[in-house]
Amino acid sequence: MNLLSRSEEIVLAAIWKLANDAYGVTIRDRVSADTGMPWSFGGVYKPLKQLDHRGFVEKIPGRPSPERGGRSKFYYRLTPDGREALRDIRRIHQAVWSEDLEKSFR
Amino acid sequence: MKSFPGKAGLPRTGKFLLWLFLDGIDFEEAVGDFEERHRAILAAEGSFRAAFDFWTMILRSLPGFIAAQISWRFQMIRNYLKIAYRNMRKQKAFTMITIGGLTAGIVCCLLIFMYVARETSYDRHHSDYDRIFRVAEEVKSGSTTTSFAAAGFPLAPALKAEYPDVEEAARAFPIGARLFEFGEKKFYENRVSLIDQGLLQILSFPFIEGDPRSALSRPNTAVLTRETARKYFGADPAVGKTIKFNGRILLEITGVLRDTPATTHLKADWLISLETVRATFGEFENWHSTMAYTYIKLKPRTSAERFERGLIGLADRHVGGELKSLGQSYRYFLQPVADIHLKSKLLFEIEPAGNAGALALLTAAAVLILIIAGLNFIGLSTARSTRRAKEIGLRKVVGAERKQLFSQLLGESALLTSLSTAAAVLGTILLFPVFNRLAGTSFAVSDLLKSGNLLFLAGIWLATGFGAGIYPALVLTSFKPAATLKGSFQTGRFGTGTRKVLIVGQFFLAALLITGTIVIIGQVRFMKNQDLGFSKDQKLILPVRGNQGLATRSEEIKAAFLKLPAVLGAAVSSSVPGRGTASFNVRVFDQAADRNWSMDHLFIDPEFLPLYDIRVAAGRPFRRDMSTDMTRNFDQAPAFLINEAAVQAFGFGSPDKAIGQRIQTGYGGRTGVIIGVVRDFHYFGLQQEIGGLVMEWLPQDFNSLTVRIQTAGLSDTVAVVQREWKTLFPGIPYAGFFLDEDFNKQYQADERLWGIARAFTILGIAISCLGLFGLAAYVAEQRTREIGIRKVLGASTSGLAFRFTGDFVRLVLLANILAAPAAWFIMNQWLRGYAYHTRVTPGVFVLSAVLSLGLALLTVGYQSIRAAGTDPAVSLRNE
Repeated sequence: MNLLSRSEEIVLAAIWKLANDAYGVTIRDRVSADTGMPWSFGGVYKPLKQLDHRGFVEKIPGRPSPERGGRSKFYYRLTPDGREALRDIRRIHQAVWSEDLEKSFR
Repeated sequence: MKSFPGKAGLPRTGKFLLWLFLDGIDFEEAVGDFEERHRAILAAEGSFRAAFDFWTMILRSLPGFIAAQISWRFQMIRNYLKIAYRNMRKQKAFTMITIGGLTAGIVCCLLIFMYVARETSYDRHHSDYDRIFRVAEEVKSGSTTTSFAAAGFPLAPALKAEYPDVEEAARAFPIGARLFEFGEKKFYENRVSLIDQGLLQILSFPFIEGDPRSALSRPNTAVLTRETARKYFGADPAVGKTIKFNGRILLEITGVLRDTPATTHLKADWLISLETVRATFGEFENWHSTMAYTYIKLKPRTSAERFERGLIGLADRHVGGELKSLGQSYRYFLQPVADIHLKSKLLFEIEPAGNAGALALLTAAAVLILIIAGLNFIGLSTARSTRRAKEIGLRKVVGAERKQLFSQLLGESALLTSLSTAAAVLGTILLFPVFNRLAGTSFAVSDLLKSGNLLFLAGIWLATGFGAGIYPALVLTSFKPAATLKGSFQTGRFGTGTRKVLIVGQFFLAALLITGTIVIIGQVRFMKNQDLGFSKDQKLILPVRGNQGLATRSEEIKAAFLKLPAVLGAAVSSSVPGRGTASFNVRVFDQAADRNWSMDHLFIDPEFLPLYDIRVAAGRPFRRDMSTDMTRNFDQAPAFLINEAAVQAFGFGSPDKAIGQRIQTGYGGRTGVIIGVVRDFHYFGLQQEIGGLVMEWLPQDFNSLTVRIQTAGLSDTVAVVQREWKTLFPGIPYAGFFLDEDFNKQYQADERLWGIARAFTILGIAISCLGLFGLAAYVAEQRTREIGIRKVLGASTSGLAFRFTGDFVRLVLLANILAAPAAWFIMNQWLRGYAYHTRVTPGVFVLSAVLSLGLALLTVGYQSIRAAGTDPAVSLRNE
């Protein structure tokens, strides 16, 4: 099984949460908010590229917008495979973080 | 506030950074994201915060960008490598030529770099070498000024006592071959120096055993190298042993040196404390001898120039009165110890100086060869690139950016240069034995791995990879895809101009190399064939040293050798040609009494001149039946022979007028009459001009026996002579040598240079021809259709081949014409370093041009004949 890396997981989850408004700026903001750390664009693009390459997200060019200096937004959307991968990782998390382990951290 | 698009946009450098790392839509996306954020912050918090945020974001993003590049590029690089490999396989010959040429160039450069680095590293291993100097002496006597590498013995103690800036001053007195005995083991050692203890503090001798601070502070102590110690004592410890030196002096071994590096001018296997000979050697108070090599270490931060100025008047303070009566003055000057090997051209230099001019020539050759190889690489790559125009065009059509193509092509160049560099390292290692023999070095793989060499290699690799790769990449990526795909590009005018310039450039450099080599060969041959004024053939020299008494027993010894059937003649003398002589001042009577000339002195017996075929110009040679010719003791008035140069120097006008003149020699202050004048002969090598020579029949100074032998059965003769030597001088090792071999050693440096230059010239020319071959093949292919049409229209095969060849030959000829003045200038500069030299004649240039034209013809001719011979039906159907 080819698991998601931690950064891929975080980015993928962010895209899922952002639904129809997932593009570079929003993903970065969301990920930064989720993790409590200021992510750089470079830090976001790398997992995005891998997710794209592995077929977990698709990249959709949007309309050119003036606030981007006339450049297009590139939206990201989860593919069914992406959703599957997210579900897998969640299942593994639950298995790994068994009840006893959870308790010892409380 | 309304903002202008330009003002709100991202900083240019930032954008450029993004562009560098991102391609295509990734770049679009990133610029968009960055800009959106930038605008938002600009509106909310102002331009300063926006810029700050932007730059921190960029910097923090770089690792991510690079990581994304790598993981993504990995796929692309695999693809590129595959393409590169396929291209290389498709054009095997072309690839071999490209790689081969560059490899040869790098090998040359690397070898030359290592050689130059070695030659310039002499005496830099001494700690604080920049504070260590040798004090040399300039003697002004009458009109002549002579500089000696050595000075009088009292100089070093005086320097130490009188100059507070001197940290240490010490003397070295190399004494040449001496006999050392330990029990049954007897050896003549050639590299023996008597030195002051202080020298161990000045120069860094690598002690393994013993204390450099005190090893030679007592008389009768010695230090020797490990290698030498093994010869006498085997595995036993050397320190504490006693060894007999020069037949009578006992020396205690107080230290062992690791073998001294080969890169020092003062090579020694034995260092003996100078104090040992204080009692017996009468020179310690003599300011006027030039035997003691005097080294000083100045205190830190002492100005050498100021110190040197302070040396003025030193000799006058001590022996001013004597100098006045001799009509001489001494000036002392400093030589930085690291400069001695390459720059010192003084009389009595310890070992022949390195050839700085040769090094410059070699370096120039290396640079030329590397440029030739680089041009070759560029030429071949651009030629090849047109074949790939279709590939590039298609890549562009399917969306490749120029940037990507550029890095792909540059990468391919880098791949080729990497292969070349790797091959060059292997080639260099394989060539080490050959080069070592050629250059007299001892390079091994471990030398190659020194950091300096690796750095140099990396530098060459980068320089050629980028320097030679960038042009083809630029040209190729500039193609318009439409043109290349339509095919019109194939016969386009691209590259003809560039190609011409490249060919001319390559052959210009090759012509420089060829001309240089011809001149060097000519000079070496000139020196070897020069009429030396004496015959150096069939002469076996037997040095008889120490108290073995050639002075008293010379006739008996000569007679013993003459009894041997293979010995045709024998003579004794104080020195032999090529080994130099001592010089003393000579005064002529009947002239202004304060005029002195420094003259070389040679002491010979009557058999010497006929044995060496030295002709007499006037008067008569020494004769056995004239009892006054031989100087039996110093009270007797001597008879002198002088050479023509001395006649000139003294101003006698003609040899005949010199006969009967009275002169006084500085050697013992004796006055005598000139009885004859001999023709000039080169008693030094040809690098030095013949000076004035005074000869005297003075048996007390004889130390060399010359035996003329038959050429037939040479090895038997040598064996017989050796046997005779053993009976005459029992226990003394035989140290005979052949005069011609010894004399020719002087030209070794030049012959080496010649050998190296020849090897590298051949390489340089080979590389040029490789390039020409490749280009000709390419052009021939390009012009198949043209040639086909011409043939259909009635052109003859020979006419076409001629026309085709002519294009190249014209360029080569032009290159030769351009190169001639440059070569003329450079080689004249080089020849100026020799007192006797050939001239650079026009014939040299003609020969060089003929050679390179011939080679070019051979290279191109094959291609032209093949191209012209093709059946037009085949070549036209081809398209």
